[in-house]
Amino acid sequence: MMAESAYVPGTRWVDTFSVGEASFASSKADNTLGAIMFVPNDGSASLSMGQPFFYNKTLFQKAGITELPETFGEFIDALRKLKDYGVVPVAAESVDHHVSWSFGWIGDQFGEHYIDQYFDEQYNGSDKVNLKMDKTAIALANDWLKPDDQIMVDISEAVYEYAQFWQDGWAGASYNDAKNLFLMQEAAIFQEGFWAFTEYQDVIMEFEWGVLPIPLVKKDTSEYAMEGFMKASGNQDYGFDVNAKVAEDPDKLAAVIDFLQYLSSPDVQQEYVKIAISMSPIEGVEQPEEVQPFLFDTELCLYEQSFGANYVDYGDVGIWGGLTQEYLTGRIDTETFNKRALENSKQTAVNTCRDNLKNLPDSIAEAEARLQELKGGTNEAAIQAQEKTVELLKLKLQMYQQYFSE
Amino acid sequence: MAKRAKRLPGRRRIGRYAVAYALILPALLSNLVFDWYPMLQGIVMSFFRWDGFREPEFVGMRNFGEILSDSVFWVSVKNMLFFFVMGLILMIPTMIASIVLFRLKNKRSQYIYRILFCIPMVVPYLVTLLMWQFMYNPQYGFFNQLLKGLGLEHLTQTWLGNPDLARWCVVFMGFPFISTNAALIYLGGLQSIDASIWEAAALDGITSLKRLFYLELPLIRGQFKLNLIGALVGGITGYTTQLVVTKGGPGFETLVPGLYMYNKAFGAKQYGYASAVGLLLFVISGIISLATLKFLRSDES
Repeated sequence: MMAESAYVPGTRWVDTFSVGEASFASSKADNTLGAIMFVPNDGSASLSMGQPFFYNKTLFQKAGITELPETFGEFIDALRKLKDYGVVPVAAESVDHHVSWSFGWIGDQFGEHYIDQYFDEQYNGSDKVNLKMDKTAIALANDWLKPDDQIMVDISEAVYEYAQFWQDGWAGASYNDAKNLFLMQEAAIFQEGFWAFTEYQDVIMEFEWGVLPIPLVKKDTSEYAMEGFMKASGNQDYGFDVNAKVAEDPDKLAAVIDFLQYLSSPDVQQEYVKIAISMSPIEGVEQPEEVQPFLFDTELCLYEQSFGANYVDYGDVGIWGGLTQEYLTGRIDTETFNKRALENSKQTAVNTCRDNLKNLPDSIAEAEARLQELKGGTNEAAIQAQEKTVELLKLKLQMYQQYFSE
Repeated sequence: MAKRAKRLPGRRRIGRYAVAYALILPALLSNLVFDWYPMLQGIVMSFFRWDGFREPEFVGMRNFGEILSDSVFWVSVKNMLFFFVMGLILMIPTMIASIVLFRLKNKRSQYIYRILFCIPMVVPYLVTLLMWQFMYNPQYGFFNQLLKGLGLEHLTQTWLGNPDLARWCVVFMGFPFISTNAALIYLGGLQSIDASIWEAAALDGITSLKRLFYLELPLIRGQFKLNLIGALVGGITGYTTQLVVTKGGPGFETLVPGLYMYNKAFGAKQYGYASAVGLLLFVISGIISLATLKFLRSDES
């Protein structure tokens, strides 16, 4: 990735991605080699995006919804109108996407600095945002979060309120069951990602549809609402992996690199996003109009982190999946749900803390060795980025050592 | 007195049976590699913590301690006992159907029944499950559409989405509860019995019901034991239906230990923990099987 791109002369391949080499700092810190382990293919480090709602415009009109809801309160009102009209407001499925996304889009609008209260100032701040998941793990492992903490009660109850507008029997529905409900016009809304846009363009002929952006949670819902969304993470999170065996054959390796450089070149990316209705990770590529509803309003992207819903989904999905179904169908109350969710998340968090204490020293050693290699060269930007990676890893280890013990 | 055959010395014995050994070698190797090795590795792994990426870490009995203190595991055991008992009760239709088929004298009727028995075997089980899932769909599935069509809309249910009904829905998916494999085993057993027994019973004027309870059922005891072991093991360790249709929900109403194990392995990436669950299931099914066999043997004597 540090070599010059064959398709953008004079520029290192890694610098053709939006936010450049710095966008890989988080992923480097998350692996034991401290290295870049993938080539991004879509998504963007500089844009904040989510999975909003595909909605049936015809049903909205028939239900008397004349303006698209922008806030959570307006969204619930719209769902109520749809229910009164006699259609299923939201098509939901039992766990895989819908439930976790629901906790996600709501929880991600709560408590920007809530988790920071448990940690010293040296671990907090704009440049320490990448430590948020580690702080969450430590807080869960130490039982610092309580089931009756108002922020968690508010998130859980907001999701509960929203879930009352899902179809009857959603807890037994598959993803295809839910999607079919929407496609058959039995349900007005179905939550999906931008990858479904082209499919719906080809498949939906019988009704008008659109994309409804994620509603904003305001302070009238909870005092912990941020009334804004998170800024773009500035991180590249996923992409193409390359089999390590390829490196044993120089010709093959060269071909793979050439292909991936070609695929990630600005000209090809510009064509790709138009055809695929996707987002490009490459700097300077214009994102297609169709994906705009999947991007959060930049004027509202004010926050660097959020409390999120990790108190629920940090743990074993086989457990929290069933727990969320029990809660959202009214079989257990909010406090019982929060308590059991925290217990489940704690088990995973304790393992995470143990693993990090054990493995971070090796990661630091690898990253430092890489830094020494870079210092033998003249690439100052690469050296600085690697120094940041090493610093982050060391701070992480220090934090675990300070706050977690068996 | 018959002369006892002289045993060949070792090398000559192997030489004489070399072809036989060579023919069974692939099956033996396959059994060792794909059955015994994974089983033994699973037993060893149950004492480790392993996420599939890092080096396994020896944790002794910790996995077992965590399993036994997990309330969700005990919910799954309770559900398993429900499906297990229902599975035992639902062995009866297969036995009755086998006996009915055995008693059919009309060749054409026999032929038709045999076809009906065997057709389900050619339909992949997964397809059957997905069809049932579709029929149970609350919005457009067959059952609710039928009820609406009959003017019984007030009886429509959310079926698999209803925590009070989901388990019964899963059990009912076996309708008409006739297992082709088990039926063939029973039929084989009945057909191997000397015909003179049935002739003698007919001469004695035995009623149909007495013939069932005093002749047919006792005579297929061996086949019953074989199918019982299969039902026991399947009832304790099985989870395919729950994995495909309900994923253990709604809530944990249809979660069984096998699915709990699967989720721990492939959801939570806790392969050591999942291996420990597997080992526990193996021990439980072994104990229950041995106890059942012992009971049946003592009952015979």
